[in-house]
Amino acid sequence: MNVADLPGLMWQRAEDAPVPLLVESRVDAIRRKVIVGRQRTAASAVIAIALVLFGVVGLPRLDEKPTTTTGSSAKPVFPKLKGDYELLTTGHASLRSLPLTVTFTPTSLPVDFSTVCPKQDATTVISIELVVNGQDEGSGTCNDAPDVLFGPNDESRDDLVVGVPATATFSVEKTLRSHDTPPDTGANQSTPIPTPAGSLFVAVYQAVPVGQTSRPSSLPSLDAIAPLPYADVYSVVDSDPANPLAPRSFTFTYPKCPPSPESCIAMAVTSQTPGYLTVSVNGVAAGEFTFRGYQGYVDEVDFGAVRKSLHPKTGQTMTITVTPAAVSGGWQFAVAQPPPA
Amino acid sequence: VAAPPGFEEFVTFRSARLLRAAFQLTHDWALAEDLMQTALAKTWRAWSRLSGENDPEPYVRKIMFNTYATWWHRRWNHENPTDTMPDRSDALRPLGQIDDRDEVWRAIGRLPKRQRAAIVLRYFEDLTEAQTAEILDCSIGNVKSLTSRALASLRLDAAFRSEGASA
Repeated sequence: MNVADLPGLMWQRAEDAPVPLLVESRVDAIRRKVIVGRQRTAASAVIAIALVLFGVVGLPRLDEKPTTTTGSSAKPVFPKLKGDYELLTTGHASLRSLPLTVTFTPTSLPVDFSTVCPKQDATTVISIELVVNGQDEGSGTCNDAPDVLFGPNDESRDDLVVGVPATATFSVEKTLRSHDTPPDTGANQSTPIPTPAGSLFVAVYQAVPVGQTSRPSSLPSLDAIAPLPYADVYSVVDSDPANPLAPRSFTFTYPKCPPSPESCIAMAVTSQTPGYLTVSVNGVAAGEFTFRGYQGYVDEVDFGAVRKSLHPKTGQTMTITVTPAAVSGGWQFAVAQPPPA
Repeated sequence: VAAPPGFEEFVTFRSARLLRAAFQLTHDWALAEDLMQTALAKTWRAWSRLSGENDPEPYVRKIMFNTYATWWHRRWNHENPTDTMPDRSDALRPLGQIDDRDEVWRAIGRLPKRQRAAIVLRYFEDLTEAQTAEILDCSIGNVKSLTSRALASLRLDAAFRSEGASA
């Protein structure tokens, strides 16, 4: 099968929907989520007020390294560098004495949270609720290995600000023992159980602040730049091996494109290290790309805006300039023909 | 707590469609219901300012896709039983087609969340790149990147390779 078959496959799977819930049942379930969310938000607000009034947790000064409620005794189970994120602070508390509130002051955004719970048997589910600055962020299961609670897609939230202390409050939403799921119903059968013994370990991560930190010494070598995701590459430019901060320019000939050339030309950039790559085409800005990690992430330049500005014609010479900043390793830029949609 | 005016009607008429989209993300009907209810609970709280708009569904869809993309990773890894269990409708299809389509379905399920969300919005919801970018809070270029990387991953799948990777 090919991509054209994807919608059919998806709709075929969607046709197997179970018998729908009664509207009343569904609304009741939603109502319960609303009530629980309000209760947790209120509880978090009370905790936050108590923290401020009674100094249970001292908020760090802006020039201080972040601190946790639990001091320096937290078990060091979290990696210092996790993809594009670096460890900011950690904390821990007994599962049975939650909530645990961690204060942190991000120096970069977005932030990310990770949890570790005591190892359980395969049927036990520990669900941890997270509230950040009084805002209910939902819940997720907690395992015995560090994982991400909510990730790098929350950049739009306006209550997390660089340099401003924030609080993250973790509590047990529920602990369940799950049972086999009947295959034809999709029903999720589970029964509540008492909160297990042991500690919850939490970590706050923040995006690696590009240009503000040196390359971690713990990295033995940089990952190779991943292949660009196109088969028909017209032109590729690599960074200067002797000086990756040097701008590079190159030219390519604009190919013959259909009247609606939405998928005629694509440009992609990738960098081995954190930094910025600014791309211009014939002097027209085509985008600035931020790389935070060491994974060779590939980002795509939106050529549509450039095309509207330049109205390129078949055979026209296009000059592309890539200007790097803050990088400490190799980068690559390619003009390519993307796969057909 | 009473539902805000118009909310129950919205749930009545729109939840089936939202649930199918949620299922494309979770590949599990129970989790899809949970995801949709979570999105609708968030919508409930914002209903008063949404009720003046023509159609709250884009807001709900945006909440749902972003909730999925930012939050539900572990729960679904932990509880999702569908990687090893065939869907009921498989019994109605020829054997060769079962293997092929199942393999692709599982490959979709292995895509990173943002890539899977982009694929669902583009190929199931049939949204434009601009509409997809609006829901995922990213640029059109980023949607193209997510989609092309997802398709590149799927092309590594045996089921796609077997037909010459025409994608």
